[in-house]
Amino acid sequence: MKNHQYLTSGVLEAYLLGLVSEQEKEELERLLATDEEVLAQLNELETDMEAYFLNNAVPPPPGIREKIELRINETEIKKWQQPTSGDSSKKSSESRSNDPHYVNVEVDNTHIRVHKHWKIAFIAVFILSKIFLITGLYFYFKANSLEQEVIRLKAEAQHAVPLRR
Amino acid sequence: MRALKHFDGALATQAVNRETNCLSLYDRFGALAYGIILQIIPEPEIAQTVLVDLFSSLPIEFYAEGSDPVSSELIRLARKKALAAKPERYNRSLSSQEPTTNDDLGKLVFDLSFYQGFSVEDIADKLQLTKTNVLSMIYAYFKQQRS
Repeated sequence: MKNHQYLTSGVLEAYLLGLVSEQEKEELERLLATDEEVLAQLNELETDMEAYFLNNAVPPPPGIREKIELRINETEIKKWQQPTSGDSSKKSSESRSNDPHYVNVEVDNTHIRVHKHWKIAFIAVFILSKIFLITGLYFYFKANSLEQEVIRLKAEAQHAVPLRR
Repeated sequence: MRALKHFDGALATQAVNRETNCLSLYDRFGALAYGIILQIIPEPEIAQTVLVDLFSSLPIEFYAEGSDPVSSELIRLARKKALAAKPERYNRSLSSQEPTTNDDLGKLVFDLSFYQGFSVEDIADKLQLTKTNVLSMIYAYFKQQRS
């Protein structure tokens, strides 16, 4: 195909829109590498095409940007974790268990990782709850025995009054 | 150990760069891509899923340092992803497409090829045109849009 024909044949438009076959694409790319006129036409057409699609653009809802950000982060975390899979995952789990900053807590076969300060907090809450329980029971039984003692003393006092008369 | 830390640092920098570049591309071309996707899949929920997928899995040449991605690459990619995710119910047969006027023919050819994913050969066959004629109609349609 002659170069001039390229400019008016619609091949450039089809190329930019992704409508050409692989063979046509290669042929055109070879031409673009050598023919500056066709390349300039393609660049101009590209600008026009961008303007055309911008005219038909629809602003996406506001939450989409955050979703994309989140998805990229998830992908990056997965990529990060990939090198530690297999044999190295054992090493990483060992090194994590030796890590002084974290304690592995197992709940229904799923692991969560918490800061080591939480361990101290859990133990403190556990001990305090036991102390409150024991103290509560102690005062309950003490109050109970005192009440019984009062009843007994009242009964004794009532019993002693008629005897004096 | 130091090498491992360096590796982690490089990965982190690369991840941050990728995120920043992809998001700046989204800021620039997000509405353009969403417009194309919605034309292909007129269902906002699916269209938004495709849009998120498009910008979160851009090929490295789009966001690599020093690269200057052009809109046409993104237009092609948005179209490709939308056509791949298009539910069956939105697939219309070529026989149901009839142009009403001659002016509509250029738009119809463009719609069929770009938004509905029919090959130039299939369109030529259905409309009883040559492949060259179909491409000329796409050329004429864009020329008309420019003027």
